[in-house]
Order: sequence, then C-alpha cells, then structure tokens
Amino acid sequence: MTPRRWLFAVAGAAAVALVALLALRRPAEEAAASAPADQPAAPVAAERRLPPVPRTPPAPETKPYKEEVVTSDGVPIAPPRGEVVGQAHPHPITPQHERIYGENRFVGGIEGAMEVKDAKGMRHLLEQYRREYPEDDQQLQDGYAVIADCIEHPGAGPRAAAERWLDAHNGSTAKRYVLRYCIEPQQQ
Amino acid sequence: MKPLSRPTSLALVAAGLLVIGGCANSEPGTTNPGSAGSNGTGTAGNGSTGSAGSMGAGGTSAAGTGGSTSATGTGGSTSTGTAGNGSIGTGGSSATGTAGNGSTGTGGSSSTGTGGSSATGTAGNGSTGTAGRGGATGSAGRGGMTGTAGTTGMAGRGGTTGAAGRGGTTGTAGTTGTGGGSSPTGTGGAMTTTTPLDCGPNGYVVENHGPPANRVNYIILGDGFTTADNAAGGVFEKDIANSMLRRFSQNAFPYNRYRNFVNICGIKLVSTGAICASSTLGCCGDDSSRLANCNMTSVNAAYNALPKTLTIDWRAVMLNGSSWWNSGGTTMLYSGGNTDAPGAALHEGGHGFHQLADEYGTCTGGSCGTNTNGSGSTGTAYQEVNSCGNPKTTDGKWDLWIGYNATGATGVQSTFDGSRYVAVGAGQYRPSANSMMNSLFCGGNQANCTANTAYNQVSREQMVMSIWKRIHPIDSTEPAAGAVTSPGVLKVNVIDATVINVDWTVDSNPPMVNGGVTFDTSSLAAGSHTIKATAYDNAADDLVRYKTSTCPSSVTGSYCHRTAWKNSTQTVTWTFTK
Repeated sequence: MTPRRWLFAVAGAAAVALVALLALRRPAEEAAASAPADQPAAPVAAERRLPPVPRTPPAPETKPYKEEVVTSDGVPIAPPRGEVVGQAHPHPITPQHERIYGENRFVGGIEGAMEVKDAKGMRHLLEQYRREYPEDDQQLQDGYAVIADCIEHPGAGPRAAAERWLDAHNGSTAKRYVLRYCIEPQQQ
Repeated sequence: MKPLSRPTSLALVAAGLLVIGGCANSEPGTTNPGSAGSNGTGTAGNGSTGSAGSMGAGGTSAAGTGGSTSATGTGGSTSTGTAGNGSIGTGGSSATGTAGNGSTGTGGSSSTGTGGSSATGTAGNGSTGTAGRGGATGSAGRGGMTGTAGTTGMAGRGGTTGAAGRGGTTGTAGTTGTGGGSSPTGTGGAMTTTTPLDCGPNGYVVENHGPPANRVNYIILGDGFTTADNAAGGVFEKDIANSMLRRFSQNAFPYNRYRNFVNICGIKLVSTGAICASSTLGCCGDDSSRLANCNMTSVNAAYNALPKTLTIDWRAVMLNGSSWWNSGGTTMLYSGGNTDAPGAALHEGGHGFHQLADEYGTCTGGSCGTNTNGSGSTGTAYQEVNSCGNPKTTDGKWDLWIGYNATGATGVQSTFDGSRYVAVGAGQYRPSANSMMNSLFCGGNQANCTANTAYNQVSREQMVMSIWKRIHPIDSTEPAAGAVTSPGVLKVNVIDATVINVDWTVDSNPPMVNGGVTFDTSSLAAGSHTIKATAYDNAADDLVRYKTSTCPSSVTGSYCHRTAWKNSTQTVTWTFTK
C-alpha cells in the first residue's frame, strides 16, 4: 500500500467510525428529548429520579429574558405580556411543568386510593411521593400517612396523631380527609 | 420585575359596572299591605312565625295574600300576585308574578317570573325565570330551578329574609339567615339558613353558600397587593370579580350549575411592595416558562393562620401583576391582572384541582390534530382522564362520550390526534378539537370567548367528581334522622334543590320520585313507619355518564375521581310510631 492509499484508508476508516458514533448517539438524545412525553402514569412516573427542589424557590431570574414565542410546530406560546389573539399554547412544557404535574398525579392517585380505603395503595404511592418531593410544599404527606393509619388501624392512637397533625396543618387540603377518616368516625 | 399597568382589565371591570348600573331600578315594585306571618297550608315558607331578619320582615302566604312591607324591612311574598316592596329593605317573592324591588336593598324572588333588581343591592332569584341584574354597587341574582343566572353576578348569598339573591361584590351577605320561597301549591318553600362564612380577619367573602364542612372551600390568597389595592372596590376585588365572571359563565360550565357547592374566600394579605420585590408571599414568575412561583413556606403559613372552621379544599394565590405567569399545582398560582387571567385560573384549576392534563402536543387548538374517530396508532395510557393512548377504547376513559355533540361548547367528542405533549401521530388523543385545557384564550375580551374554549365533556364530568369527592348532598335533616316521635313534617336540607332531587320511600311502598325536600306524615295511617329520603345529584347523561363509581382498568393502580360518584347519593331514615 502506497503512503497515499494508506492515508485514504485511514481517513475512510475514521469517517466510518464518526458516522457510526453519531448514529449510536442520536437515538439516545431523542429518547432523552422525548422523555417528558413518555412519562407513564403516576405510580410509574414516581420512578423517575428528579433532583429535590429546595424548600424555598430560587431567586427570580435576573438574566436577560429571551422569549420563546414559537414552538417546533409553529404554534405560538402565549406571550408573557399582552393579549393573545388566536390559538396558542398556554405554556411550554418544561421540566418544571412536568414536575408540577407529576405531583398532581401523586395527589390524585393517593386520594383515589383513599376514596376506596386502600391504605396499602396509599402507602405505596406515598413512599414514592416522599422520595420525589421531599420538600412537601403542599403540606400533604404526613396527613396522608395519618389517614392511612386511621383507615388501617382505627382507634385512639391514630386519632391522637390526627389531632396533632390538624393542629399544625390547618391550611392543608388533606384536612378534610383527616377529619373524615380519623375524627368523624369516632364522633358517631 | 415590575408588574405592568393593567388598563385593559380595569376597563373591562368599569364596563361591567356600567352595564350593571344601567339595569338598576328597571322594575319598580309595588306595595301590598297584608298580614305578616306564614300560612299554614303547607310548611312555612319564610320564617316560621312570619318574620325573620334583622330589620323585620314581611311574612309569606300560600293563599295569595300579599305580604306586608316595612319601611326598613323586607317585602312580603304572595303566591299569585306581585310581591311587596321594602322601601329600603329586601324585595319580596312571588310565586307567579314579578318579584318586588328593593330600592336600596335586595330584589325579591319569583318562582315563575323575573327576579327583581335593586339599585344598590342584590337581585333576586327566579325559580323558573331569569334572575335580574344587581344594582350599581350590587351584583346579579341567580337563576332558579330552570332560570338563567344573571350575567354579571357573583359573591355570597344575600338577604336577611326571603329567597334572596346573592350578595354583591360590594353588597353584604345575609347575616341572620335566609328564608325560602313558598310554592304555589303550598308545600312550602326551601328554607335554608346560610350562616356567615368566616374567611378570617383579612378575608373577603366572594361566595358563601353554606357550612364549610359540606362545601368545597376555595381560598384565594392575594400577593403584591398594598393596603390601597385591598380597599373595597380596589384592585384585589376587581381582579377576583373579573375571574368570577368567566367562572360562572356558560363557558366554564359546570361551575355555574354547582355554584352553591363551592364557597370562595379572597384573603387580602397586605404587601408593602410589589411581586418580585417585597411582597408578603414572595411571588414572582419566569417569562421563559411562564410559570409563577411563591415562597411556599409563607404560603403555607398564611393558610395555616386561617380560621379553623374553614376546611380548605382548593388553594390559589393570585399575583398582583399582568404577566402571563401561572402554575397548575395543588396550590395554583395565577396573575390576576392579565387579560386572560380568568382563563388562567380555570386552566390551572383544571390541572391543580381536577388533575386534568393539557390537551395539546406539538399542535394545538381545533385546527390541527384531526378527529381520528377511534383509529390511529396506540400509545401509553396515562393517569389523567382527559388523554388516552388507545383511540379504539379511549382506555375506558371516555368511550361513553364518543359521538356526543357538546353543542355550544366543544362540539363532537371523539379522539383527536395529539395530546398531553405528545405529537400528532405519536399515540396520544384528546376528547375534543379544542377546550379549556388546550387553547383557552378569548382575544382580550371574556365576552367573546369562543364556544370551544369551554371544558369538554370528559373534563366536565371529572369536575363533578372532584366536587363529590369532598362533600355530600345533605346538610342536615329536620328532625334529626333516626327514631323520632310525632315528627309532623320531615325535611332534608340539601345543598341545592335544583341540583339534588329527593326520593321518599314510605315503608315498603314504591318511592315517590323527586318528591321535594319535605314529607308530611299527617296522612299516614296509625302504626309503625319507616321513612327514607334519598337525595342524589340529578345530573343527566349530558353531564355524567360514568355512574358506577369504578375507575377505568387501564389507569395504573385504578385510582381516579370516578369513585367519588357514590358520594353524590345519600339516604337518611326516620322511624316512628303514629
């Protein structure tokens, strides 16, 4: 092989290797990009590993605003100022949106389990909820645990725990259910 | 970031007030002197001894005698005539006529007529007519059994006696109870007592419909509002009022149908500075994501400080700003001054309170993502009820709605390609071409919201379930259910007799379907009797179709809101020996 042919051969091999590398990387990137859309329903979604959010929100962004006005489909996102005329996406889908809706699914799932008095199902979901949302910004998690106890082992102990929880969480949306499953049954 | 000025929304509110003012005093009432007191052919209508209320009230009569008026009290009612008129009090009610008019008080009610109007008070209820509009500083009344709600109304139930309308934005909710209207047949009116709703020292009663223990309680904290903003008629109240206009319009059905099921408080927290600066709850937003955010420690502290009598079901923070910053979590956040803030509150409530998904992928609105009519590629069955992966079965989520045409709303319910952030053709479907959970915008004018920005049928049904998840049809019974002695008339106090029917069963006889809220035992033979009253939501098939209280098997864990439908029926039993 002449030096010139050898050079061509090396260059050709390098090109093939580069193409192969790109071909292997693309599916992984696409999968990552489409991950939010592929999130399964609540209980399975709970298996996602998202970093915990600090208890206080981050400081408002100070970097210059770069408006995202059009999504990949060409439909505009509602502008952050002014009126919307015609059709628009209410908002883009960001990891923050996904995280918010993921929490909604936990709430819906746990309260659904509660409605059918499935304490075991509640605990299963609650465990995942605690793991993924340790900040418990909505002050719900301990309330759900108290309710599961009341459903499973009604009596003085869970009731006392419920009363303590109520004292500290008057503004929680779980209050109605703590009253329903822990306090009211023993008033009848 | 400094909030922008909000000329548009203020102009809308101003326009609304002009409309209201234009209707004031349009129906002058008459005065019919008569005897106070209730008539005994049926159960008493207003007030068991003919008077109720803080200033003295006229009585009711089932036989057509006009009620009395009081210079400072409440007009009476008559079953066949025109109601009396309280000169500065509350208009009376009329079974077949036109309600009276309180010149500075509250309009009366009419069972087949038109609700009255008042200059500075609150319009009345028409049970089969159309509610009138409120006065210049009041608000519209509420339609009755088959009537149409006033278009500009909001706020709590007004009136100290009589079948009062709702309290206005600047009006006052009733303080000493609400009388009912007597029916033409003398079977007695629905007599409900609306006790004051305690929203706390900073609370502003937006809607008061009954005891918090058996109402969905929606509490809206304000952030970035100064003392001046929180003044009566100020920015806070106007922003709330603006949102309520769309909430109780047909565009947001079924919130109007279930209006009596939800109490609403606004909490006027005083901020020394604007949002994104030094507001009490530390709220701000992000232009890129359009998300609002708040210091949740402060938010939770504010909620925990509210009266213990409140059972909070629905949490929201309204930011004093006009940016399009909103969030749909369990505590939903929205910017109250944005032109489409009413839509934001409804859309984010769809996420946070009803656990609905966004119904768009990489396409939005009715012009893209065609109706596949049950065909198309299959995708994942997610938890949210308003998005499906299998267009043939809808994953069991809305197969009963396929083909239904929601006229005047979202149109044909089917399987439209593209939903829940999944692109068209990628196996995710929505129930309607457009909806509140899709492109909800009204072009800067709430009055011009296109019909297809309503909630679709799947969302509407979920909204009903979300309510029944928390409450039951019956507030109380008279006398208390159980073993009783010489009960006379039995009564169930339901949340709203226009939404809830009551069937009565005597011993082993067939039930009397939709027999009203009272049952007179005087006609029963001597002996032992068991009387059952079953109260239930009378929602027809155009609103609720999944009534088995079971979840679609496709939903992971089989947990959903549908199981709450069982709570929409409640039975009480009395036993006695005559």
